[in-house]
Order: sequence, then structure tokens, then C-alpha cells
Amino acid sequence: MAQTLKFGNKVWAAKEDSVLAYNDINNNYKPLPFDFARASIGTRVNKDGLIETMGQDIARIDYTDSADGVLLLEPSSTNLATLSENFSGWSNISNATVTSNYTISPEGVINATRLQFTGNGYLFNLNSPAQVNGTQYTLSCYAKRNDSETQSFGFFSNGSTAVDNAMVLTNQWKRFYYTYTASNVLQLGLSGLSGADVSVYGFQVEQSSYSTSYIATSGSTVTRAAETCNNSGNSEVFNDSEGVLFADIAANANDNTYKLTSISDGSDSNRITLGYYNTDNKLYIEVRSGGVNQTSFSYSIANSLLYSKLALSYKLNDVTIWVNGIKGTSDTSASMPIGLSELNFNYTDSLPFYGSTKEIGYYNTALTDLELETLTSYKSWTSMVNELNLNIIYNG
Amino acid sequence: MANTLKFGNGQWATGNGTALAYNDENSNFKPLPFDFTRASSGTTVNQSGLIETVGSGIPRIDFQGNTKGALLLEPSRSNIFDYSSNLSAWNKLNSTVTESSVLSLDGVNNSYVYERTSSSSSYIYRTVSLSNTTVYTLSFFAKSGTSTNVRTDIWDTVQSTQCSIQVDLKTKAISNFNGTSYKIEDYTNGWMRISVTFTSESSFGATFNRYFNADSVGSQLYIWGAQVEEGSYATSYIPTSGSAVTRVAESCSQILPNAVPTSGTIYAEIELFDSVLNTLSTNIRFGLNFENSASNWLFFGIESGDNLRTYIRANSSNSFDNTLNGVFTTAGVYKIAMRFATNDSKVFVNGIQKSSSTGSVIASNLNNLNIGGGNNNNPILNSIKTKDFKLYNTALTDAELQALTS
Repeated sequence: MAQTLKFGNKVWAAKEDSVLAYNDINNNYKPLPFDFARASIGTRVNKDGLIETMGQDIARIDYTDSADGVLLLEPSSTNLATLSENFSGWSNISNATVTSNYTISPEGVINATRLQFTGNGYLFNLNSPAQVNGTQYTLSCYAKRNDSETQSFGFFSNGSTAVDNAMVLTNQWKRFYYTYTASNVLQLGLSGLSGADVSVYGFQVEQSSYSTSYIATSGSTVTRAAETCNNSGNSEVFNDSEGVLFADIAANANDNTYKLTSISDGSDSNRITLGYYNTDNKLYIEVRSGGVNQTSFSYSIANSLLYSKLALSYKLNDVTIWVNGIKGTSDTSASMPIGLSELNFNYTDSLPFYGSTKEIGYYNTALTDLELETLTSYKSWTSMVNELNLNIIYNG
Repeated sequence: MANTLKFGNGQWATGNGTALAYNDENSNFKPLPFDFTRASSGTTVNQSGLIETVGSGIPRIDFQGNTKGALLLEPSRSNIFDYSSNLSAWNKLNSTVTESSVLSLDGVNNSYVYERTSSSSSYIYRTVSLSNTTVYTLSFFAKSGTSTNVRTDIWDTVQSTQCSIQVDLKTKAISNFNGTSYKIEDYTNGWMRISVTFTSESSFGATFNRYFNADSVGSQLYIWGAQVEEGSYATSYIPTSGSAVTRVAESCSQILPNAVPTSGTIYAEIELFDSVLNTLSTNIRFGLNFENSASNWLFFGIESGDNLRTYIRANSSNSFDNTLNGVFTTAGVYKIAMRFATNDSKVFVNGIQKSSSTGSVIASNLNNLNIGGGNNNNPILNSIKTKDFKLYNTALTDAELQALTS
């Protein structure tokens, strides 16, 4: 089997406006870069596990949940909390001693804040951000405990200043999340019971059902722009009549929106599409030729937020999806597209893929079932668990 | 025999909202994760024997009483004892409570030592509020110090004693027992969990949960993790710090990538709790259905205490529904396997055939796998530990079923 395009899989290179895919047939390396854009800075977790700011139009290879790195593609989002790191600047603080620059933060510098609750207390910025009743928001914050005691500490969102969502803290930094629908627009923040002694960093409020990567603020809201990553390959890479598109990916959220990758002729007429459907935990598969959908179906998977190894195999009258080593739906009546020439993290200028990509591969020949099973499986139980970013509790 | 899905049996991996099952045919490992829900934190006994809190949505693999772990699924329960482990907040009579250097069972915080200071009436206590004529279980952890005798009761100013038990922490001998049942379980580092189940009286004055150091003046013992919950058995520890806390019911199920064949086998090795002794206890079922519908469904269940139920339904028509009494007569570990096949379905428990059908009709679209849920994909209604679960895409022979469950 000839793999004519490789992307990721522990091999990452990026510069402004570009992230590298390549072909290495005959041990001759041929660049097939994606065009990358993001009209703002953004943050990632680097190999050392530290939050790092990346410049405008530089792709983010993120190591939050993978030692091998993943390409992180996110939509635009705004941190509505105006003082994400300066907790002592919050307007309302009760029964809490706030010590700035107390310890090393997830950024790797001494700028995390200590909160010591001398009574049942709280911190919030009055009317900041202004919330809209009935709208979903997601709070996030890094936190850890400062001593060995059990800590009663967490987010509040309903104006009562009582903890709505307690954090299970350890002595290691962890990012905590809380999604809720606003019912009291006045106050949100952090609260704790008397005796709690915690460190915090990076408070974020997003008007969304999910959280995105950290956006630092220091006095006003900040927006991270949406990212695009398109136009890798050419007509010599892609075979119109048969081939396999492989992707090891996870969606950024189950929010009922399409998140698609595709190989197309640059127009809306001919395309191979693989990605997430606009219903939670479903894939979307499409083969389009001459402006007509030859194949178009969705396929249920366990969890779009977990990494899945997907392979879309196509040839005349045989389009099949493989997911994590298991053969899924097939369509035995499909004409093939013409003029495939570019690989995009979208569906021809729409429905962009937002999520994490460990690897993309393209094969210009159809593969056998066993090859497809092997391609989309893991080599051991341990590697499966690690790559799915799960925690091994016991492996006897 | 092809083992289509494996879960547990000493291999446990979890994440937020998921517990990993898998297929490893052809030495290719394919994840088949269960969707897991619990909208609250919970506690479990970790490999070190310590009680560990796990966050909302994280499955609990419990190592209490077994070294290979088991998936713990529990119904919703509330601990109405408001300061479960902070004894400094308890009221004292002729007693002192001080933080000790002895680690509590959470492995993080020190426990409190309780010393008797008078030969007169001596105890520590909190007020609790019980509903009338309701089954409750009181539980707490204790560890001997210079005192080896601990007693607890729930005492009401109108109805007097609701329940009580005194335990010798060295010999486990009991006295002063009032209640319907009790249990004493060993935990790590010399801790024991003592539980008493009772039915509350019909009306109340002020009600107190009291703890007595039943040894001499000056002697000391350790108490941690008091819990009063509605129900006929104690569930996992629910920490409280000022008010009642509810642990939400759990569910564990998954939509399989493809429908299973119309012949196959479901196997589970499970640990049942004392609820099997209660004929009013709610259902525990292991089964397959089509997209959460009861129209196409098969399962084996532990129902109304000790009954085994075998159920097969296709296209809204039952082809088999059999209930056998007296199968699960004691709490403990059971191995159960259900073969489903057209006109040839059977259930074996611990190596013995318990039910069979020569008229079973199997739906062709079964794709939803459920562990323990009371009905279809509903959350768990009764506590259970699953040590091992397998789904085979072939109907095992009688001999294979016997061997598998022996």
C-alpha cells in the first residue's frame, strides 16, 4: 500500500502560515504543506506541559493530552473574564486572603494566586461579565490545593456565592470546567468554605457549551480568532478512482455542528468527506462526483470527544467506513469523484473541522479489510488506553 | 469462540464519562468504551485500600475485598449526617475530640481521636432528622486505640432507641444490637466499617446519632466517616461538611458499532450486596436492546432479591420471560452467562443451568449494551460490582457455558 500523504503522527513542523504534511515514498521527502491561518495569538500546552503563547498564524501543536502532540484547531472564542490572572483585582472578595504571585503557575512562572478562606467566602467581579439569562456559559480555571487538607472550593454561577460545582483538587495543577445556563446575571466566580487553601490561575468565562484553550486577559475581554488549515497535496497525491483517507482525530465538542475534513477538486463538485455529523457522537461520510452525492451517510460512534482512528475506503461501488478497527457502514453503489487535488480541514470553505488531530494519512490504493482493521486499531491494550487519553486504573 | 467484547477482568481504564471495553481479535486492539454517567462526585476504595474521591462522571473501580478491581455502580443515596468526618463539629458530653496523627481512610487527612473523660454518661453526637417508618442504614468507620469498644445509636427524645450496636473492635463481638441487620467490614490500617439497618419509628422528638467510647475513662478510639442513609444497606462513603450530600445514580451502557448477531452470549462476573436478601429490592439487569427501546430486548436480571429473570423480546413480542426464585440467596460473587439464539437460549449461574427456552426469538437489530441498569438504559437502581463482562458473537455450547461460569 502506498501512503502518498503523511501528517502528524509525532512528526510536526510549522511556521507562520504553514504546517507541514509530506510524502516520503522512495525515501524522497516532498513537502505537502497546509495553509494555516489564525488572525490572533493563541495558547497551547507545550512539550514541557506549560502554557505557551503562539503568535498569529502559527499552528498550535498541543501536548495537553498527548505526549506525541496534536494539531489543535479551534473556533473563535472570547474570554469574558477581564482579569484572568489578577485575582486580587476582582471587585468583590469576602473571607479570602488573596496572595498574588504565590507559586509557579501552569505557565511556568511565579504568577499563580493563593486563596486562603478565613470563613466561608468568595471572589467575583460584580456584573463582569454581564450574563444573559437562559444562555449557556462555561467557566474554567486552573487550581490545586496548597496543603494536604480536603478543600471545599469551586465555581459559583448563580449569585448565591455558594459552590455550585466543587473541584476535586490535588496537589497538581488541573484545569476545571463548569458549564451552566445563566439564571442569575449578577455574579459568578470562585467560592470556598472556611479553611480552604488553594492556588488558582487562568480564570475563563466563555459564552459556550464547552471550554476552549486558555485566553489570557488583563483588563478587558480578549478574543482568539478562528483557525483554518487547508490546501495540502495535489492531483498526483490523490487517486480519483480508489484510495483511503485515514484520520486519528477527536472533536472539540459535542455541540451538534459539522466538523469535516475533505479531499476535493477545489470546488463543490467532487469530494471525499470524512468528519463529525451535526448530531452528537456521529460521523459523516460523503462521496460526491459531478456535483451529485454518490454516498452520504452518518455513522454512530461511542464518543466524538475521544480520539478515533477512522478510515474511509473508496472505490467504485464500494465506500466503507472503518472506526477503531471495526468495519462500519458500506455503500455498494457509488461513482467516484474526479480531479481530487487538495486536502482540507473543512468541507470546501465551510463546516470547518474543530478538534484535535493526531494523524492524517492518505493511501492512493484501496486496502484489504485486514489492512484497514490493522490501520485503525491499536497495537496493545496499553497503547490503546494511552492514545485514548484514559487513565489506567489497573492492568493485571 | 470469538470474544467480541471484553470488559474488566483485571484490566481497567477510565476517563470522564467512559469506561473502556475492547475487542482484541487478530491482536488488533479496538476500543469499545461504555458511556458512563454520574452527575456528582463519588468515593471508591483504591488499590491502597484508601477511600478516594473521584470527580463527577468518572467511573469507580473499587478494590475493597478484591485485588483486581471491579466496576462499582450504585443508586442515588444521600448522607444526612451533616459533618461526616469533622468530629470537631460534633457535640460532646464528657468527651474530648482532638485531631490525631493517625491518618484517616482518605489517606490525606488525620483522623480525630475520641477520648472518654468521665465515668458518667459520655458520648459525642449530631442531630439527624429521620422520616417516619422508613428503612435507614447507619454506618461509620472506627479504629481501636486504647479503647476497643465502640457503640453507636440513634436515639430520639420521644421514641428512644431507633437502632444501636456495640462492637468490640478486636474480636468483632457485638452487643446492644437493635435493628434489622448489621455488618462489620475490615478496611486497611485497622479500620472497620460498622453498619446497622433499621426501620424508623412512626413519630419523633429530637433525634441524635450518638457515638460512645464504651471503655474506661481516659481511653481513646478513632471515628471517621459517619453516614446515615435511607436504604436497606450501606453504600459507599459520602463525605459531608455541613449539610446532607447526595451521590447521584450511575449508568453504564454503550451503542455498539454494529448490531450483534442473532446468536451470541453475554457473560458477567458480579458481586451482589445485601440487597439480594430484600424481596423489595430493585432490578439489576445485563442486556442488549435496540437503541434504548423495550421493543427489542433481551437480558438476565437479579430481581426482587434473589430471583433470576430471563427475558427475550423481539418486535414487541415476548418469546421468553422466566423468573426463577432462590438463585441469589446470599450476597457474594456470581458468574452468570446467557446464551441467546433462535429457539435455543439458556442461562447458567455458577456452572448450573437455571433457565432455558426452545422458543426464543432474537431481534436482529440489538446494538445497545447495558450493564446493571434497572430498566433498559436507566440508571442503576441497586448496588453492584462488575468484575468481568464479556460479549461473544457466537452462541456458546452448554459445556462452554458451564465451564465459563464455574
